[in-house]
Amino acid sequence: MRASTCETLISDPYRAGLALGEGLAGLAPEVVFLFTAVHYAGSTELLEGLYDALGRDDLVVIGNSGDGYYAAGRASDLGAVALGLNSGGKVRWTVACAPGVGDDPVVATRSAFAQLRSAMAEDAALVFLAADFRADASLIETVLRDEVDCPVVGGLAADDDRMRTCYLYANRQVLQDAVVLLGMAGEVRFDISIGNALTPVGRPGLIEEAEGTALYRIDGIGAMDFIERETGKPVLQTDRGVVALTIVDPDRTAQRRLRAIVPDFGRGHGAIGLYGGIEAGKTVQVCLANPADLMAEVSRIAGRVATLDFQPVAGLIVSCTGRKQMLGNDIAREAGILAESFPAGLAIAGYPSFGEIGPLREGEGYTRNLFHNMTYILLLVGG
Amino acid sequence: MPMTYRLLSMLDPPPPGFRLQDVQKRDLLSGAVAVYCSSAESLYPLVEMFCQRVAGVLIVPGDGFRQEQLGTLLWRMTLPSRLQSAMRVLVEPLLAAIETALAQREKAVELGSTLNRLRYDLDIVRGDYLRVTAKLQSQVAQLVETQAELVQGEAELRAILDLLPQLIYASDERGRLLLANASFARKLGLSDPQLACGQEVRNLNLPARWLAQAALEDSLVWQSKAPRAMADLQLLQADGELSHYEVLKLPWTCGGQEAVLTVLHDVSARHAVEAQMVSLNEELEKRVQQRTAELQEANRELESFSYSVAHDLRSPLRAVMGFSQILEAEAGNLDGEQRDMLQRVQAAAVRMSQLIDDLLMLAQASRMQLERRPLDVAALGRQVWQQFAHLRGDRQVAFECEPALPAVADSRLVQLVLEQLLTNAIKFTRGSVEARVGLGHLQLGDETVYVVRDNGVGFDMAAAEKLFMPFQRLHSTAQFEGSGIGLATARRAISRHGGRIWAEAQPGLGAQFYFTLPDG
Repeated sequence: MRASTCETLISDPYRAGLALGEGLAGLAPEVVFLFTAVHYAGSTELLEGLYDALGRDDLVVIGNSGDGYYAAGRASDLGAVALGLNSGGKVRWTVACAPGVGDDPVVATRSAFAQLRSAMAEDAALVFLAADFRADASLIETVLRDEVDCPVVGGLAADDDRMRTCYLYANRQVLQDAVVLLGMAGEVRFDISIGNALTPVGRPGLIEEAEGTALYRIDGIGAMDFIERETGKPVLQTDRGVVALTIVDPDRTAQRRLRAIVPDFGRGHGAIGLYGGIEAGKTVQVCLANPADLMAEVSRIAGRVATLDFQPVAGLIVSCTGRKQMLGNDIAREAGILAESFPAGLAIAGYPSFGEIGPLREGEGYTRNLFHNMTYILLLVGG
Repeated sequence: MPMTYRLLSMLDPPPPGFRLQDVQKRDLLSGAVAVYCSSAESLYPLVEMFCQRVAGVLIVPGDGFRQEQLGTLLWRMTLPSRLQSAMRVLVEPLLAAIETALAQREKAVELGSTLNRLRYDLDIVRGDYLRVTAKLQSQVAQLVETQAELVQGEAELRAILDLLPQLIYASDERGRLLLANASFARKLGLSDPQLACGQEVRNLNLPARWLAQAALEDSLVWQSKAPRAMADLQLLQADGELSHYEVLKLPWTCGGQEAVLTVLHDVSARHAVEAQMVSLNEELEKRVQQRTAELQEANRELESFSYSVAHDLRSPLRAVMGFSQILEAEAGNLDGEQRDMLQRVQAAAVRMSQLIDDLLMLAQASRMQLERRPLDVAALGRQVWQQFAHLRGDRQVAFECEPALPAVADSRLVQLVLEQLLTNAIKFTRGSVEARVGLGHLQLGDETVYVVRDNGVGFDMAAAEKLFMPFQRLHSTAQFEGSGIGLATARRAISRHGGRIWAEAQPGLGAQFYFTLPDG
């Protein structure tokens, strides 16, 4: 398998698509992972330019908008990155999608997988997922966790941190309010790493009232008051990425699952938003991110994947926008550390997301598929 | 920077340096471009917002040379056919400039976006700033309110402290006063407790004994970090009166500083009352001793009198009995009535003799010197039972005695008790079909209670109180003989040991006599 990446800061969507396509033309990719800033405003000309440049109608494209994009050693607020893969026909790539994820995440996700299974006519070894962030991702998770047997990696599309809109790419289509899947079957090898090093602080609290992605009461007080009590400071907009809640599961203490907070002071007194819902009755603990811890964990992951039993050619990164906020200018290092572990070269692309999806490592394999926040997910692909 | 612009011609033959081709959207948008075509407008449908997005020069043949700007980076150039050969030379500088401008425009867009993002982030930070400052303001207001409450609370506490009659002060490790209440200040002759603060305790106008004692106790509290109490600190006052204080010293923190808090409670009044009570008690004890001595003397005299009377009565009684026997032997011609009268005199003399014996026994029980030794009540009981076998005659009376009943007591007195209780049992079971008498014990907590049981006639408990009084009998002499002295003697013997004796019974269902013998 061969891989290549290309990035562009060109603002015109068609010209940007052309530039990306021209950058990948030498590879003649079978599939392109496309991650863009939201500034292209969902123009299909981006895809048109890409297709025009690569000149093949059977090109498979999947991707989405993010809060900018990641490339090797670079994180940009603008532009786009494309990662192309060419397996020489040894991997079958199939795209499927379903609308309506905002209204009914379960039905939309289930429908997308049904279409994928139908289109592939074989079991997928791995699925890459992109979804509109305006959905309760905990419900998407229920389908991925309970009904999908192969690993699913991906996340929720994002915008420039305003949380207004996002776009999904499925071949020539630009979609919203949808779930898009890329199924991979054949001679594909992969490795999934998940980093979510946050420090728990304070005492755990029992969620007493919650609805969807909103938390109302924890431990007898308003959710926001609970977080302020445990952190000792007011909840701020800039806490997005700094403060998260970990779901305390006494049966699975090693499997940390985080839900980052979305400070929304218009929600009403005491309520707080989350990137994915947590139902009442669960126990949560406030976690604070520490830049040094985040980077140390990414370094550990980079060290581990440098010695895999296969040679990865491409790395796809889905990393929370909160981490980008937290790390500031150091965010480029998150991708840079990975690149340094592969001196012979590794095509790297990714995006800052509003939610991450992937299984945790468990022994020699993986857990069921889970939804995360404040998390760094690395998918390495090879032949 | 290498030139990447394109020179395309839609008209054949193409001008020198131009490539003839069918122009597509991709050709128009991939960078700066010069297109030689018959009409600029014919290209417009290829690209949405053509004039805004396409950068370059559209060259159309015409009569004269004209140039007009169609968009920010798009020009239309009208060129006479004769200048076709120079077309490349004419447009290349323009395309180079457009290419540079294109790059600058991208840079400007990037900068604009960055600026926009920064402005947004700044708004977020400003919002956070406002929220933090609002929170801080609210916390400061709350702090001020709390502080005011604290000040008020402190003033109230201070007032309470000054109202307390106890002398209260706190000192640091150097002995410097950190706190003093009004009572303590008054003791120092100060009008305001604050005047005492800052002074060293050793320099205060206090008795030397107080200062020495306080310094010693303070050092012990500093070492142990534990409270210390002095039950009675006696101090001679300036007026010569001796005052008594209870002193408590506690490790404490005063305004964040470690200190020893001293509380002195004047207990002089209580001491005076206690002294008076001690004096009264002593007086009372003396009186009790005096009365006891008088009572003992009276008892001794009474016992001596009883003994003397009983003893002195024996001689005349013996004479009466002796002479009546002589009279009976020698007066054979007495008629029946006279003989009956003589027999009644003799019987009365015998009863009186028995009565005197019993009285002497009671006196003996009172006068005998008490000698406690380990003994076996059961063995004594069995011995008594054998001793009084003649009282049972031909009757079958079962005697159930525990194997051993250890005690520490005077064996002579215990034997006296057992004689009274067992002979009574024999006597009062006279009418029982299967007479049974028992000697045993029961344990009431730490106390051993000995018990003599029988299944005889019993008695009514309503009269139980009279049982142990001399000359009190619950049955007539005709029914059961006796002087009424026996149980009184038993009680005296038991009370000499400091023990108790009591009985339980029901008429017709027998009786139980209990007694205790404390070790002394």
